[in-house]
Amino acid sequence: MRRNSLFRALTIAGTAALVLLAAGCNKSEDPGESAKARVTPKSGQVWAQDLANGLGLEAWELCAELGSYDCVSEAHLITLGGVEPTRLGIDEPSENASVSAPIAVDRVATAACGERYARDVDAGADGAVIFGAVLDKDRKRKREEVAENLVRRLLARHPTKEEVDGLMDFYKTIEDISDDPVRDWSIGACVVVATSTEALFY
Amino acid sequence: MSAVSDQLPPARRRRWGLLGAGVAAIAVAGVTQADRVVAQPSAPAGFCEAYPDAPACASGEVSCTMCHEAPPALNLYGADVSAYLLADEERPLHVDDFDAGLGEALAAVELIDSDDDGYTNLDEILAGSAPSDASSAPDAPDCDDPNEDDGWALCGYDIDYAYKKVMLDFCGRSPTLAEREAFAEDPDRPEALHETLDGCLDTEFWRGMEGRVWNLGNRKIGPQQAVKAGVTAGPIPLADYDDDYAYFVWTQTDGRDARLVLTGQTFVTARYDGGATAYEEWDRSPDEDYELRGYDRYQAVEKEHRAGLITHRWFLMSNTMFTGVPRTTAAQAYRAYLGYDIARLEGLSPVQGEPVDYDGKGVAATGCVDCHSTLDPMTYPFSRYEGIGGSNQRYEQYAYSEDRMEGFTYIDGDAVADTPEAGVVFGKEVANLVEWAAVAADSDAFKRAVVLDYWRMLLREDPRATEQSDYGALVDRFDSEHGYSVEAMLHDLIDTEAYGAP
Repeated sequence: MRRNSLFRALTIAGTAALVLLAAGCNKSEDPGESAKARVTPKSGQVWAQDLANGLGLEAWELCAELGSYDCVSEAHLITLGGVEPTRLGIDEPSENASVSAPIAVDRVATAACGERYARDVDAGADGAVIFGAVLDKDRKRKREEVAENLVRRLLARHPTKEEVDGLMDFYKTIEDISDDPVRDWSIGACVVVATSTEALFY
Repeated sequence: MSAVSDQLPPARRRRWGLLGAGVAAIAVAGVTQADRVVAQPSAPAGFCEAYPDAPACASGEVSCTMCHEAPPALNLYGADVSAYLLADEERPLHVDDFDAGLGEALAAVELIDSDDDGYTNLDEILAGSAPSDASSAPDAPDCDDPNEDDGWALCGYDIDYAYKKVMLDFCGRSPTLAEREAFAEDPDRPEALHETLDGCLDTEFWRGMEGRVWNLGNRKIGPQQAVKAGVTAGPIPLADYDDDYAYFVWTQTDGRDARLVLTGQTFVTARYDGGATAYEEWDRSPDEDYELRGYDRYQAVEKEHRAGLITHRWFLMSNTMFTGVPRTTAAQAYRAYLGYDIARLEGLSPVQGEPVDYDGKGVAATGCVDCHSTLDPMTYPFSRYEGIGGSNQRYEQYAYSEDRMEGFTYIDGDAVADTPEAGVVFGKEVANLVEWAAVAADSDAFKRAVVLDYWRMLLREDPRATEQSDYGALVDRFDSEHGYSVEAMLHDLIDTEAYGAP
């Protein structure tokens, strides 16, 4: 049941991301083009550390494949831009991201956001780190509070109105198809922000 | 331009740096016959004499890609230059003729647009774009940043962006919202930026075991766990590359002179203790180290013959191995620490009369001589350092043995015993490897290689044509202002527009 709902949430996450992206690219607010245009991917280690810091988790708590293999430092190490010189002879990060990198990013973010949500549920609304507002009362304003909190914690800046609106629109889509829209929206919105271009590159 | 750039002292803003006698492969066409080689191919210098203000010359030598696709194949611009270079003379040109005619040929093609992108070759050379690449053109003078108050400054150095980048590059994490806001409100942000860098340079992420500096050593050291000794030893323990990594990081941190990577005569151990990696310098004789660490780990070279990492046990084991004249060892030292890959015709500085071919490998043959006239005399100083098993098991492995070559006569012939210990690097005669390392460490090539290592690490690409002046200035100041300290150089690097422009 839980897996099924999560699957639906992830399916919808892509739609939400597009909504969020569209919200940030309003023609009236042309972001302009960098003269340098030098975009650098965060290594898996750095991205995971940002994710852990944002979610209030330790890096090793984010994700473990098969419950045993750390997603970032073991299972998806090379895929996420790591190196393994001594046994594999991979001395430097691959120049280009592999085709499986988005899958690895999604898996880490989904597991980490799910872990944060589960802990917040266990802690209750008052003890929760991120999702306490919607665990208390699932109202639009509470969801806005969570959306703003996600952007502040995961992107280290204040959100724009368009971004919050994009995440709020995501709820409209999910509430009709989810048996637990609070959970699925919370985890899905977290994944959207955690896997945004801004979170992955600098 | 940014506030930081504006505050730089004049010397730091200097755009045009070194001119030098480079050795890029632009000269190869002129030195393809053994009797025509000279000690210093001067074509790259000739180019930079013609265009001293060209950004491509800021680092001291113009890249081979100015005229070549992959040497010796010419690119569009190189083909045009070649067509005007003593067109009636038989090829290959004698190097003297080549040098004499180069200036006129360069001038003759200045108003040509070799890559047909609408800009003349001269405009491109002076602007720092590539005259053979239609996708590379002089930068548009204007930059449009429609929302200057929203997000990063897109047209130049943005110190808030630089702060975030420093945190990510050196501390391994983004700043929190509270940290970003505190930085934005700091009355002296340039100072705060450099204080942040200082803090990050002490993190495990940067300088710890398997941290960023540690991993910068991967291609230089070439670790292979299967033959590792010591902690996490492999099935065939021959040497311990942990010694090499620890020594490398030690030379790059705490303001040390980076030349120690080639000239140091002590060793370093990395120890993870109390949540941080500590690097401890030590100095033991081979006998003392044998007693302490055992047969499969001890460093076997006596102190007076040590030359930093290139006489470490792992380096000799993994490169010299069973070889008499260890060309691979010299080539790896040249590649790893001086930035020249001889296999790609880089760093050629032919020596007249070389190669002698003491070991009868046929390296004097046409097609081989172009590289081996540089490589072989550069290799001789390495020939007294034992590899695996020692020379014919006559001497202790990985040690210095003055008459080592006599152990290879049964494989390579009697003449191999005549291989001299003295050699030549960058056109300078050296008596032994310690002198070789000193010349190498004091060279412009060493400075360029160190700065380029960190440039590539932080910007994930080579300096762009328009950034050659920034790169060249860093190289120029690495000795004079930074005192060969990597950390001082990094403080300079984060102030460049290349680093701080979003």
